Amino acid sequence: MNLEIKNLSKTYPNGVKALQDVSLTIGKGMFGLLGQNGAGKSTLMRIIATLQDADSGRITFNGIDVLKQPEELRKVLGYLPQEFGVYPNVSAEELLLHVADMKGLVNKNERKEIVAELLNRVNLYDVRKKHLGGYSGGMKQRFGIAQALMGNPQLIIVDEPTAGLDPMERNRFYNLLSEIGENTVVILSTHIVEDVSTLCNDMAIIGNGKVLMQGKPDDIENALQGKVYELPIEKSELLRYQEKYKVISQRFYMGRMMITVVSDDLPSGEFSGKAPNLEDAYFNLLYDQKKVEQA
Amino acid sequence: MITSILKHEIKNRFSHWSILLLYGLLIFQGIWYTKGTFDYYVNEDLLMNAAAVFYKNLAGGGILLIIIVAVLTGPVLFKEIQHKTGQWLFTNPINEKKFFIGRFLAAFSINALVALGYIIGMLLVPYSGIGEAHRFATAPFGQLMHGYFFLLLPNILLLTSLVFFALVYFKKMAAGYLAVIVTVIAFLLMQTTAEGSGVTPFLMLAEPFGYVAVDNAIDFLTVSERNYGYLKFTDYLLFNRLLWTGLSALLFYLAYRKFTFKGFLKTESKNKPEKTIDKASFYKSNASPIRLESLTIQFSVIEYVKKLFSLSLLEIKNVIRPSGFKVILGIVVLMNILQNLLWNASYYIGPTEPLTFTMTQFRLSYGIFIMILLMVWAGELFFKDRTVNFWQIADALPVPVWTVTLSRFIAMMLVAFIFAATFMLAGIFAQVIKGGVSLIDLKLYAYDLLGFNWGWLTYVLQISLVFFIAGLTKNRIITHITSVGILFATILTFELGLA
Repeated sequence: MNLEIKNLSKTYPNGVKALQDVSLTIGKGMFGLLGQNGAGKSTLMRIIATLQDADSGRITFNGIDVLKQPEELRKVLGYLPQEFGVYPNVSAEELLLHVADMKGLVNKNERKEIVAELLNRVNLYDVRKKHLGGYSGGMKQRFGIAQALMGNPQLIIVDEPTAGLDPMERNRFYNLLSEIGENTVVILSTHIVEDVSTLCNDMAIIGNGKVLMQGKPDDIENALQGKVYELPIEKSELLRYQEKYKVISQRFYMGRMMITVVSDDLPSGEFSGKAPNLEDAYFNLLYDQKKVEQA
Repeated sequence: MITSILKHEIKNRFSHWSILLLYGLLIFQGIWYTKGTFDYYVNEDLLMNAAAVFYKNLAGGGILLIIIVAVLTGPVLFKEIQHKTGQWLFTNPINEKKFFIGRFLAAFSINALVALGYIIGMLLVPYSGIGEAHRFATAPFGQLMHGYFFLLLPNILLLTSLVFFALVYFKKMAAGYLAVIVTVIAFLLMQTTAEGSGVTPFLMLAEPFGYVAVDNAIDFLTVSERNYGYLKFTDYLLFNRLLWTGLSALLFYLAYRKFTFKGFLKTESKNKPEKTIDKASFYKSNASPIRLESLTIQFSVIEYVKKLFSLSLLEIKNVIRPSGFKVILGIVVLMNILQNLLWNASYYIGPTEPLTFTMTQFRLSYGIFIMILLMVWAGELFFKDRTVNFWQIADALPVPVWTVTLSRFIAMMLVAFIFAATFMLAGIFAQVIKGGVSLIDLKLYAYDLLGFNWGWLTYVLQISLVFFIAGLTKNRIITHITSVGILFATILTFELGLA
């Protein structure tokens, strides 16, 4: 069971190159797609979810040609878009039963059972009879999660799924997703690095429509082993350090600016070494990409 | 600040292409209503562009203008809730009372300027080709402006105040629409009662647009006065204008006093607080796997056909559950019963039997309103996924487009049937009340109310038209405008004898 994306490209009518020759192989388990806002993640998600056409390239999932047989992929797809609405005048239970019906669940009792189970799992069972128009943002998001998991999907695509969820609900959702991910392909699109590093066994970093790197989070982190250094500086000194070193990120720590530098050797005695994390690898890639574009 | 808001809102509204369409519709209405009003006096040597014809047009306002005013007014204030812009806009150093006045004046000015399209339409009647040259004299421009300032503008002020009042007090766009609908229904009820049972001082005062009082004043004018004279705003007509302008001012004042940024953005929560998660059960429930493997999933044409009806049920709920639908249906049923019990009897001279034939006349007298309602609902249902932003989920579901579209069509057919059936029940109810049980003719009910002569089949045809246009245009607003426009064009060509 795997999803193959080959040489996928998409340019919008206004000239924006959303995807440029993207190729990925995604197997069973949780796959993290990391990228900045506007990197092309949502475009890629929508193309895989059969909602948008690509200009060129090919996507296959378990023998299904996604671009040519969208209706076949929809039979095994669970999709949670980044932004979505709901019908305000129907209840969560009614709309989920409707989605279950649409997803081909022909047995009425089974539909009721799975809807009850999913509502329970996303903690909406007590408010299942309430009209969706009265749901808060977090409750709507949980409803979206429930509909995406409906009907035994083999490919689950979740685009920025934890927006609006409190920490407990976020944990609950990730537990649920990990459990389902054991037997399915789950693509998690996000810009939260921590989510990818803790949840995914495979990942890709995407920037300006290109795949910058693909691999296991641990391998990507370890590639920078012994090359990451940090130093607290005064804010006014930032420009000087940026000119002299490869400063991939800066943040404030206890009132002082902390810069993170990537270098093959110790930049100078004032720096101290740091164990690399996925965020460093991510910022390092974005830095390199920016430099290439500037050149 | 008020001037700045006023300029911004007017510029914003008039820089959009749709304003030309609104002017087009109102020019069309000006010509159409002039012909209709003139036909009322056709045997009285009246000019087609007589001052009296224009005064009556201006007092009535016209269905298109009223719809346009209802649609344009609400968003001027409500957009801050609708687009959630109030959350940041209201944190700026703005005086909330001046903001309210600015937005109110903007809405009123926009409506007043757009309404000039109606005047232009009336001025263009001699060039429209709907009457012979000898039916026209020099356009009574002064009288037109007189009617515009003393009839149309006060009526626009009333509708604008009503919408703002409803928005401030109920914080729902539907409340604004409902306020306009109730006013229009009151106008129709009183106008029809005056035509059927005669004009009374009460009707001349209580009818909100001054139409009954204008009609009554015109009845006492000579032909020459009707053609060229200025209508005198005295007696009941004057009192009517003062009463309703005063009420408009009161509504404005009440809304002005109530309006605050905090209050406008505050949403009343009647919902029970969410249950706190019990941690033990939370982890327990997460530990058990979801039972997914044993589900029976089938995809076949037979299954899709079976789904048509189950999917239609949810679509019907989407249409009939909003309180707006229930209120409108209730008003329509009430009007139907009142017409059958009161007005049918007084329409003909002498006592009349409660015949089934008269009971089904409602579908003709109010058919156009029912048709517009059904057409708008059909368009809304067709584009529902886009409107509520559910399309990304709906479009990724494994059901063919025809199943979803057809289920919505079936749902609208059933909604139309609900209307036809209520007309039948209201008619039978009226016959029973009036002791005409023996006159109940179910076959005639079925023929009239379910048939193609402005019955259920006509509704279905119009709904089909909406779905067809929606499929072609893929745009909700264009679908509404085109389909209702085709309906009006069909009626007009029929009235002008072109069809």
